[in-house]
Amino acid sequence: MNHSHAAPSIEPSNCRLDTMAPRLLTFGSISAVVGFVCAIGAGIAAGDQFTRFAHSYLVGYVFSLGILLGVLLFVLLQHLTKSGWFSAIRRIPEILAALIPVWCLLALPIVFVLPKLDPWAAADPGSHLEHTGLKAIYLQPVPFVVRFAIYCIIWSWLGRIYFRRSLDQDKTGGIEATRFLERLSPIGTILWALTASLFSFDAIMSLDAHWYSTMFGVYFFSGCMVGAMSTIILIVWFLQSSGHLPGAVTKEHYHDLGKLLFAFTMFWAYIAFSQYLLIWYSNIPEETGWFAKRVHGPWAGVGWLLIFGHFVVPYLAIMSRHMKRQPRLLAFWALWQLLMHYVDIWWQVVPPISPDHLSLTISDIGCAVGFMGCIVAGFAIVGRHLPLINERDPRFMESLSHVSP
Amino acid sequence: MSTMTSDTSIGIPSVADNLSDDPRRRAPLVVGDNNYATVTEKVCSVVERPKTPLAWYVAFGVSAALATYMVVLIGYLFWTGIGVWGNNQPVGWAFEIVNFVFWVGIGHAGTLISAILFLLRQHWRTAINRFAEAMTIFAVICAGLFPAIHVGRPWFAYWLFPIPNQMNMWPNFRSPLLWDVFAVSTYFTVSLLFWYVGLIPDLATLRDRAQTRLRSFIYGIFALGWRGSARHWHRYEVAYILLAGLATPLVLSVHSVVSFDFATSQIPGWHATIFPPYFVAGAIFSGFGMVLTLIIPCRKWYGLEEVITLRHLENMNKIILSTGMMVGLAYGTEFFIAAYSSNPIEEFTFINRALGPYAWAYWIMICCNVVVPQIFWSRAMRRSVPVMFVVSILVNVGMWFERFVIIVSSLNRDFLPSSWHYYSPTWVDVSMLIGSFGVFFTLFLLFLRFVPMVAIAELKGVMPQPASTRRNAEAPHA
Repeated sequence: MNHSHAAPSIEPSNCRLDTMAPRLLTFGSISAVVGFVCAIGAGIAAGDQFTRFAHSYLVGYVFSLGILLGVLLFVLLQHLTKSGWFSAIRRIPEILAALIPVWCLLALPIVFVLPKLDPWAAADPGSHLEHTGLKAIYLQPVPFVVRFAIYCIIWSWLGRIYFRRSLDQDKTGGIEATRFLERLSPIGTILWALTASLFSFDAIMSLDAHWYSTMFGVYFFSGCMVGAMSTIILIVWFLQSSGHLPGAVTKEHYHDLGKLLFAFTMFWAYIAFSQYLLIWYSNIPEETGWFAKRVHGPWAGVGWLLIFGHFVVPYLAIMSRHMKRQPRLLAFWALWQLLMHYVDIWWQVVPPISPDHLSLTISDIGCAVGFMGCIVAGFAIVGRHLPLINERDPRFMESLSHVSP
Repeated sequence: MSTMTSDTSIGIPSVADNLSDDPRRRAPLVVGDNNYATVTEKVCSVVERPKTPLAWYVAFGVSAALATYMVVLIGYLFWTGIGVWGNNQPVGWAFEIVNFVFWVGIGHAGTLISAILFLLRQHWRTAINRFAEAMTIFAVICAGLFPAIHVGRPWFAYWLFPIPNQMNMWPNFRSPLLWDVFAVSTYFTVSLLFWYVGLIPDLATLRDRAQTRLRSFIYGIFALGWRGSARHWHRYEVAYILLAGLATPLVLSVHSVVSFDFATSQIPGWHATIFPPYFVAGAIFSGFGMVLTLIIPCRKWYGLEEVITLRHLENMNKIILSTGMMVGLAYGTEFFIAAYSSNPIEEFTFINRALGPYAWAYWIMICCNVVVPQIFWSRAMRRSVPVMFVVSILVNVGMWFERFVIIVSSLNRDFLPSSWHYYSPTWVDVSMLIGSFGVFFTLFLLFLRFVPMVAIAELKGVMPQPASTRRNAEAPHA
């Protein structure tokens, strides 16, 4: 196999955000402020005591947190599999995962609007009396908040420790950090699997307290990974097209990132299809009710959009080798999939409160822009003085010379 | 993929072991004082020995006797009807479907190793893929037996296939049982093709080394005129990667479709949306268990410890640990959702599973699949051959019981207590399970005797491991 390589020209200057950081920070903060202000404004204007706004906020929150969680899992899996191909630029997902503590604070509004989201959390006790057994205890505001706090502690701890130890390695250059993080990764992955599945039950599945699907955690995971791979591709592409990281990221890396995006796109479709098929086939009313709201009536179009937009079209597009090896084209499809991932979450959350018409409000868009702005601003603040490459990672050279067959 | 085009010997420094986990360098995959020539010699000599070892004859004799017993049992079954089994309402599916799912599950490791690990560039797969793929094919053959003899009127078994006929009678295309026919037969075909494509260069090696004209002729036919030219290799590698891409979704689809047999129903305990990925994880888990059970004695008896090293075994143990925990997560999720649902029927089903008449089977399953693999958290245990041999067997005991628990414990408590029934297998049920192992081992022993059990050409592609990276350094191959 003859792949010609340009000699890596990595210099400290092009591996830092430096002048880019203030601009990113300004862009991110303005997006965040404008987004949230518009969303709140629209929420007030709606005059429904923030019910619609609460749903918009939840969609944006789960969408953005899901991306960060997916990125965290990506870092964990890199260590778990002792992988080398991505080690030079693992700093980028590390910075993103280190932002998770901020999302713990951003969860506070959800706690306040919980009664608007979940009938079981409403002050009126009559609404949750009908639940019996575990559900009567499980779906209560206080246990909900306690669980949420536990997830937040675990995720923040994992995100920060992988970030901190990686920075330590920049200074010391020792392999102890790698060893330690590799040892921690199986435990981190297990914790991730447990907390992320429970989070998906708590945050989305419980919106319809009667509905349940054992697949739901896996469905959430598959979406997170599509979002995470798209975000990583977009950031890497953005940094490179603004003159950063020459040599550290080659077409080979884009090719492999593209393969992973392709794989998770397929995996998402596999899980979404299996969940739908099994519920459709069995036709048990408790279960079909959830899909009935989403695939009949005004929301049916969104269902079709997901089938074609989240799977068929990107599946055929990203399958192409050419597509994966052209950073601009790949970035386009990453953006596309990020958008579709949002549509997926929106389609899971909103239909019950707007069963009669398709509802995409200013507050939906405002919250999504706001949360994405937070990611950009957070990336700029955390990453502003840091090298964007893990120069002293023991597998650094392996990553630079990576070839995707 | 990089592979050798010729069999030249290149001096490679001898490595004592490859167990170091130093992140600065990748561990070599072949240890000892080996080069291309010795690897070819080691693998080929197994099938070239003029005298077959006595132990092989003994093992083959036992397996073939059991396989013959299976044939006799099938004859008996056809003669008397499936009443000789213990199945009865409400337990309409029991041992035979358990065996079917069990064997299909075992047949998952091969294609996972050959396709998914190939796409993930896990180079250690080269020492074990041939072996695992062969195992896959034989396991799927064993699996295919059971639905075919379960149909009641076996002379109509061909009705499973949508064959145009003058009665204009078709199978129900909306039935997952029909999807199974397509899924399993597609999987079998692609696995066989994949195995065979990978074999071609090695069969040519055997042809070129053959001492007798007959051997040369037979291996020559199967080697399809392979000469090892650059053009051959080019086409071969393209075909191989395409097959890997095609086989990857199949690894997921086959056991997903098998899980649909249960999950599309309305039977509590069968109908769970998590079934497809949960079955796939379990299948990989059991498949790796079986690969380990088989590979541990083989590498010892055939002196392949330097090729199938302790590191390979350790990696497989890690996969067993991780897939075992995925299965554990699925068990936990099912229980949690049953409790969360507050649906009395769901709750009853799962309490019945853990505390009801088949609680013993349930706890065997939990111990073998969730508890026992935890021993692999310890590095010493992951590297202890006796420990992993025992664990690998227990994993398959556990996975057999998993299917038993899912199928039988969900059926034995029907919606009306008047229809409750404790299922017990008859001697025919038990004998058929044993007989299926006879069929499996007969085929497997034939494979060991006539086909190189390690992919020699592929192994050479990963052999000399330069210090920093394989690709960057000057590798001695093209």
